[in-house]
This record gives sequence, C-alpha cells and structure tokens, in this order.
Amino acid sequence: MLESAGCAPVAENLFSIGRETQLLASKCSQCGSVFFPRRGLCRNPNCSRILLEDIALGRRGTLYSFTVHHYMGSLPFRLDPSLLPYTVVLVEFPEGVRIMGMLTEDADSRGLQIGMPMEVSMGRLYEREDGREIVTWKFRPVEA
Amino acid sequence: MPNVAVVGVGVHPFGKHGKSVVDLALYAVEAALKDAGIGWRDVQAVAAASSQFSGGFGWRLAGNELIQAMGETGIPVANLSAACAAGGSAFHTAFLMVASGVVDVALAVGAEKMPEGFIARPPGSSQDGSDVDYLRWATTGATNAVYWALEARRRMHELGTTDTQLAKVASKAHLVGKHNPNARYRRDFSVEEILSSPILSSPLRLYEVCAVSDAAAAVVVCSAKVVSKFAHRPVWVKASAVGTGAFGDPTIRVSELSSTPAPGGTAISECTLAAFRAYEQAGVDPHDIDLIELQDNSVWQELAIPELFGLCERGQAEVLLENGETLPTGKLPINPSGGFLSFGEATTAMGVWQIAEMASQLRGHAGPRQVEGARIGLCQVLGLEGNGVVTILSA
Repeated sequence: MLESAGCAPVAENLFSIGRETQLLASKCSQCGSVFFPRRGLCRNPNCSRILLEDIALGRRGTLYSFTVHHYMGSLPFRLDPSLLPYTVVLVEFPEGVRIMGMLTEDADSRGLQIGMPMEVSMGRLYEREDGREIVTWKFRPVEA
Repeated sequence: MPNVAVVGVGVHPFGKHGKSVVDLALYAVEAALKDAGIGWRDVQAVAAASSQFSGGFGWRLAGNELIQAMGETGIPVANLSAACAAGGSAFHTAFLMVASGVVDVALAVGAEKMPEGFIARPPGSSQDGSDVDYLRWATTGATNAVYWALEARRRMHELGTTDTQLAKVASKAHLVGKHNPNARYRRDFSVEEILSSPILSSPLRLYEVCAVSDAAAAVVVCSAKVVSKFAHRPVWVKASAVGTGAFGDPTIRVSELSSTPAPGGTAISECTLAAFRAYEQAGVDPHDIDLIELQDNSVWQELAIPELFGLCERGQAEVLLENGETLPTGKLPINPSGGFLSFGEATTAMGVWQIAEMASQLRGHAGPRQVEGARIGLCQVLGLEGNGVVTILSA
C-alpha cells in the first residue's frame, strides 16, 4: 500500500489519501442528491440555489458495470505502460451516485461480476519525473 | 405546417484527406449550392458548426472563414459549438433563421479534420482540475469508448445481449454502407471478422466502434415562400429540436465521472427529450417514423436509442436486428446511410451530414440503399456534456 509521503494525487479534492481512502462528494441538504466531484450548486432544478454540503462517501458500493480497455488513453491520461490493459469500473453507492474509477492493479478483472461489492481504494497511475508516485482513486472487489 | 425546406445537400467523401478543413467545407458547400441550383450570392445567412480540431483562426470561427473563402457578401453568421452535436446545432440554427422569417435562404455547414487515433480533448485544452472533461482522462483514462463499453456491458447483463449481436450491428452497417459512395469503408465485414477484431474496450471490439474521418457536409434550407424557385422536390423540416442533459438522468454523460440517477430521470436525456419534443412539434408518433439515422459511435447506441425514442419496446432492438428489420428493407430501417461505423466520425460535420443522407432517402435518390416509400425520417446526434439534436424530415 502506498504511503502518503511517497505519493501525490493526480488532482486535488477528489479523494482522501491514505489507507482508508474515501471519495469526496457534495450533498444537497434540500433534495439529498449526491454529486461527484464536489460542486457548488445542486443540479436539481427544483432546488433553491443553496450551497451544497461537503461529504465523504462510504467506502463501499456495488459493481454496476465494467470494461477492460486495451489501448492507452490519450493525454492528459498518463499511465505506467505495465498497467495496460486497464479496467474501468462503475460502482453504485448507497448514497445514490454511480462513480467510475479504475480497478486496483492487484485485482483480476476476470473475477468481476455485476452486483458484487466493491470498495474504494487508492492506486498508482505512473511515477513522476521527481520519483513520486502519482495516484488516483481505484476500486477493488471485497467480500460481502 | 412546416415552413422550412431542405433544397440542396452536399457531402465531401469521408476518409483521411490531405485537405484543409476549409477546403473540405468548400467542396461540400459548392456541392450543396449546385444541388439547390443557386449561387453563393443567394445565400442570406450561414450557420456553421465550429470545427474542434483546426481552422476558424483558432477562435472557432468556421463560418467566417468559409464566408471569406466563398466571397465576402457580409451576410450574418452563427458559429455553433455543441461538441459532436455541433452539426445538429448548425442545422437547427439555419432552420430557426428561416422559420423566424428573418431570411429566406440559409446554409448550414460542418467540416472537420480529425487528429489520428481516438477522439481526445481538443488541442490547447487546459489542464484544469475543475474541468471534469480533463479529470475523466487524467484520473481514470475514461476514453469515449469506455462510456459506451460500460453501457454495452450493462445491457448484456440486463437483457442478455450477446457478443454476436453486437457484431451483427456492425456487420449490418457495412452491408448497407458499402453501397454509399461517400462512405469510407466500402466493403462487407462478416460477423466472424468483426468478432476476431481486437478488443478495444470490452465488450466492444475495434470494428464495433467508429473510426475518425475527415469530411464536410452542407445543406441549403429555404422558406416555403421561395421554395418553388428551387430545382428539386423539397424535403420539409417537420421538426428541429434540441435537448440538454436533464437532472436525474441515470446515464453517465461522456466527460463526467459520475451520474446521480433520480426517480423519473430520463436516460440519454439530452436526446430522448429532444426526440419527444420533435414528435410533438411535427405532430407525429414514433410509429409514424419510416427510418432513422442515429449516432452509432459504437454498436451499443443502435440498440439503446430506438427503445428510448419509443420506436420499439425495451430489449426489442436485438430482435429487430436478428430479423433483418433494421435493414433498408425492414420495418425499422436504422442508418441506411451506413452510419458512423461505415463513415467514421468527422465530429462537427455529422449533424449536417445526417440531414444530407436523410434528404437523399426522402427524395428517393439512395440507390441500392433506398428505403421504399420513405416519407418521414428522424436524425439524431449527441455531443458530450449533454447536447442532443433531433430532426424530423418529410418528403
């Protein structure tokens, strides 16, 4: 597992770094809608233009769909070529939001089954020129 | 009663060309003017899709660039941006210019010269962490094909769609498209050949996702008042409708990292809402539609869109496909042009190109691809971040 000292997130304000990674989302206090990434205003046209509340999502959801991508995505995507092909999963959270993310590099895409429980985690994209690991949020299957 | 007609169409053949985006556009515009039997000085306004990858002086002023090249008549111009739906926006705007009575003759045009490889962020895009289209690439490698593949996998799970059925959609596209002189891929692709093409983003294979092409398309529209001056039997615009993504849509919109489904939310809402607006505007029901041109970026769209538009029951697109009913000779002909799969996508040209293809069907000029008795046709394009345009044309 990567330690926060040796890695940097690919972008800010998307997930908490560390062993218990959580996704950072917004929740509308009026209609309860949850959005990822965080945003300022609710997209529900029936809601007043009030500011959304920052929340961290629970770590677990269920697998809604998945795909194994066999070609390198174009810039600004950067990925260690050894991680090709890479798997992208779509996870449904009990909070009412579906979120995409890569599958952790230690998980086997052949074991994926729609409906299985998944947990958010953190994983490597590539090593930056200064030697730092650039990380993103990823998902891995877990026991029910 | 429709008061706007399509009276001229022009398409630059699709492929990879050495030409500039302006030269591609000029070819299509000159062909459309010739088809309409008019000269450039008869055009009273231009609605141009803003090319995403080149031209337009770097300011996406494709229409201004075209007017300079054709001759500076000083006419009004609109440069339209709606990602891959920009051609649809250009047509819609030309329609509005004429429907409003402001002008009698308008030209809609879209031209694009695509970079090699899969569709990426346009050149010069910022590396801005508050831009979700940047984030989907940087954090997750979510190519456009990833979105279509996630939908296709889910459809297989829910409805039992098979790999062979996905391949049959592509094979059907080429069976038809090989007869279209403007198509890029003009040969048969057997189901076996498609199934043996490499996996791009599972379950989608390379031949089940459209390529990118260079191309241009132009159409001339005019008011009912002046339509008798034109050589051709007019094709009438029964409806031109635009939609944007609506709250609660369960579909993950291309460029986003999530969706927030809500009760009553509409799938692919930007297009589905536009389709139902178009039915209302045209005074038609889905069963009145004789043929459709839909945006088959991948084989998944051809299965998903007809049911969302009320053209068939949920899960029936596979049955129609298996029974040959989506061929030009079938009950619900889909993409008798050959579709994006036969042409390759020239992003901002596509919405205009679909109108040109549909007009050729409604005029009865489609040769071996002709849908017999085609009277009412529907065209659909979709651009990322929630841009949908649906047009209904009639003979």
